[in-house]
Amino acid sequence: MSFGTYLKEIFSSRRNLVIVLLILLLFIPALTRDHYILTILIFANIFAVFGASWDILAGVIGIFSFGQAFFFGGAGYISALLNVELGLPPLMTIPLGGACGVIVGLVFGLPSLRLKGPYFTIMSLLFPTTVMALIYMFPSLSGGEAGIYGLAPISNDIAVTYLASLFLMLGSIFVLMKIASSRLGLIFRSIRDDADTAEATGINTTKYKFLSFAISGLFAGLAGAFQAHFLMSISPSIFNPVNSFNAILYAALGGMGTIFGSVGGAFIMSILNEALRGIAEFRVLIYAIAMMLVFRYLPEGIFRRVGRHFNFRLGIWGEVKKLRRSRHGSNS
Amino acid sequence: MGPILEVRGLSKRFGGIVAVNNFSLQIDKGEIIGLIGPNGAGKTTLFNLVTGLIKPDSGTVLFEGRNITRLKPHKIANLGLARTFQNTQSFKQMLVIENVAIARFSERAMSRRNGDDDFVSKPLEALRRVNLVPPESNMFMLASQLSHGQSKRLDVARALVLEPDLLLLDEPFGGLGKIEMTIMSSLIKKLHDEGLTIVIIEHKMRALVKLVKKLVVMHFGENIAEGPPLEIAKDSKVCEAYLGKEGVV
Repeated sequence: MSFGTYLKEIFSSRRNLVIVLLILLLFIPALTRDHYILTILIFANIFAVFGASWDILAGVIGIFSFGQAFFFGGAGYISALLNVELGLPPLMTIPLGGACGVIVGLVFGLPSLRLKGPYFTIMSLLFPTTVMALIYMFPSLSGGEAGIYGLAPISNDIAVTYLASLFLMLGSIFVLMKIASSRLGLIFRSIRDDADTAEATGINTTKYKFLSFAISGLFAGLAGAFQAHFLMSISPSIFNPVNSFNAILYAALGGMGTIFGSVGGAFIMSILNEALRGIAEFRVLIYAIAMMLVFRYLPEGIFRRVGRHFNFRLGIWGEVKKLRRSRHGSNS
Repeated sequence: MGPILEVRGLSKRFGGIVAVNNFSLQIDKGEIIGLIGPNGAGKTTLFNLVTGLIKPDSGTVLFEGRNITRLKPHKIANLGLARTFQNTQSFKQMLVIENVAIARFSERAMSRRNGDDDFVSKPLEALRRVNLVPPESNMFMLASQLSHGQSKRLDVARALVLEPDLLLLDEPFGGLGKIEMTIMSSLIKKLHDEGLTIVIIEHKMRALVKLVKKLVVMHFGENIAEGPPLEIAKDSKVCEAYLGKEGVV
């Protein structure tokens, strides 16, 4: 077999394609130790988790939040304080940041019980802005406008930091995809499609909504805490609405409701961002046009088809598949 | 044997409009009842009040002797009171089999599964009961791909997986063609014959009176008459509600 046909063979299956990409990502530090390239990829990994944390809310259970930066920044600040004030190492502050994200997520979820659809979405815009105002009000603890500096780095070796971010991303995406395709995900999706019917079917929608906020908060929190340590600083601008919109951008670009779409979205945006640095003035214009084209021609996102290949569907999928197979068997 | 559902003096107003006004009703186990009334009489609101989707201003609802007036909808469903909606409300982006399987994850179904971990066979059986499985591929379709009549029966199938004691059907014949109406009608009859207590809101009288033995008439939120269909047809108050007072026109 020639090398060409061999390659063709590999890329004929999307599953193989994804595996090849994973191996490539894993061995990037072996290929280059370039600080600049690795930094871009670390950000892409962080943003992928951030986007996916938004996707589990919007794409899976159908709650649209415009305030995802609330979890991201909140957890970032908490881990920064724990590190700078108490001297806890990043290995502890990042998980604690995630735990804080859970709590912040539950607080965030409270108004969703009373406010439905667009009303919650508008409300969610206010959360991060309120925290920003609080930070300005108490500069002695929060560092005020300047933020908090001097956090311990994840590692002094950029390659190690990159691998840590990669494992964070892969682990988070794996868990979130497992959740979305489990029985829990099935219940989430029923709430997305029709919450009243789900209730009338005996599903405690309140409980599951809170659960989804906790999950979303956890992963956004992990990403936020990781970024704070990576940058070794955090400032109030993290609560900027633009930061919340970025999460939406990654998920929507890659494919809402797929979880892994955020990975694609985050990588495309991070790389594009750097590639177009030379024409900074036109960058936003190019994004806007690109987004319009994507939403017009690929409303389901760029990476939707990859997901189909993984049978990314539901918690009883195994049983259904068996059923389907037995049906086909009896027909032939 | 006491009544399965007892509604006492239920009232609900929306702003200036009294949707349900001091409404009382008793339903015995095994009954099949038609709830009729002109548009806007408050029939669907009554269903929403009984199933907990909205809270009443006053009055009580007893289900199997238990006060369920202010319980959450999922609690009421888990007690065995299932319903369908007037506009079919399926989980449109989910498969047909998934739509029904959701009910399998309710507390009621979970506690009744007797340790078996199979989440497909019961839903499948429900789909078969409502005539939705053949052609076989139906269950792997998206719910949004079903016809209107099939969606209506899908809603019933979902309710059946809850193994309810009382089933409320909101306009099960709404928008159905002749053949689909026959299917739905015989389905409801079959369910009643199996011992299920059923309340049906319906405007299509001819089909309804073939099914039910008792009609309850609602007008401006009040219970103005109840009894066998033939008596109801002669009731002067009912004629007034539908056609207006004599001599006005």
